[in-house]
Amino acid sequence: MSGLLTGLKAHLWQRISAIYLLLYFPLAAWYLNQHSFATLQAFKQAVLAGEFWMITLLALLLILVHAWVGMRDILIDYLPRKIVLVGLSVLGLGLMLVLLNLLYLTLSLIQN
Amino acid sequence: MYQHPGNKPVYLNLRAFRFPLNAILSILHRISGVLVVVSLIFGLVWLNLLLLQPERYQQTWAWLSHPLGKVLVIAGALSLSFHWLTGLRHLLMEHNVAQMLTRLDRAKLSAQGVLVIFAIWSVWVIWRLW
Repeated sequence: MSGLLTGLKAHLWQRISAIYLLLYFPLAAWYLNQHSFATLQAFKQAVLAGEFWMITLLALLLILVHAWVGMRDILIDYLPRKIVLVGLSVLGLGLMLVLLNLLYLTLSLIQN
Repeated sequence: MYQHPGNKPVYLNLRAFRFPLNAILSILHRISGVLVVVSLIFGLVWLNLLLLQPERYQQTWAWLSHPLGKVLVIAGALSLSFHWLTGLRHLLMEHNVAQMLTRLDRAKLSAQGVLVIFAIWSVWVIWRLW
């Protein structure tokens, strides 16, 4: 279990990701508000321009970290003891799938 | 992890307690966090449909103009805004900014401030996105 984000490390990562996301959301909202998404071409132009996609990808990765720590706390607090491990496994697996999907979408956006 | 000694069932009637505003914001922070995760999954499904079938790009966007789409977008935006605001307050509080942690009146005032800002923001978000 030591490979998973637990204890003090989890607490720290929760704060690091919180601060990044605290800044990211207002900036992203402001940035995206200036662009048009009328066509797929326009969408790609807006999202892929400059460093925005990298900043966004990092934000998405940190959302997953943040979601893992927060949802893990919630599951440990409220699930009956017998099924805590099941719940955590399902959560971990779900977040992994989300991560794979995000990486796939990013690759397909960059490639064409 | 704490384990209850013995097998006596415990029944806590949550409605018999009076929770301070601080506690209510804390549990709402959790609930809004779960809602953000749910919105993220919905949003990701939508993004897949949007990007992986380019020929239906306009139609996928148009879903967000449907009343159900608008409700989901607004619910997601408000959950995220609430989580953001209460999260900011938690971060500031942890470092006792403006003595929010050590002075009860400041804790209460900041909680009320968060609620007022969220109320005004909600009205604006609903007005803009509907």
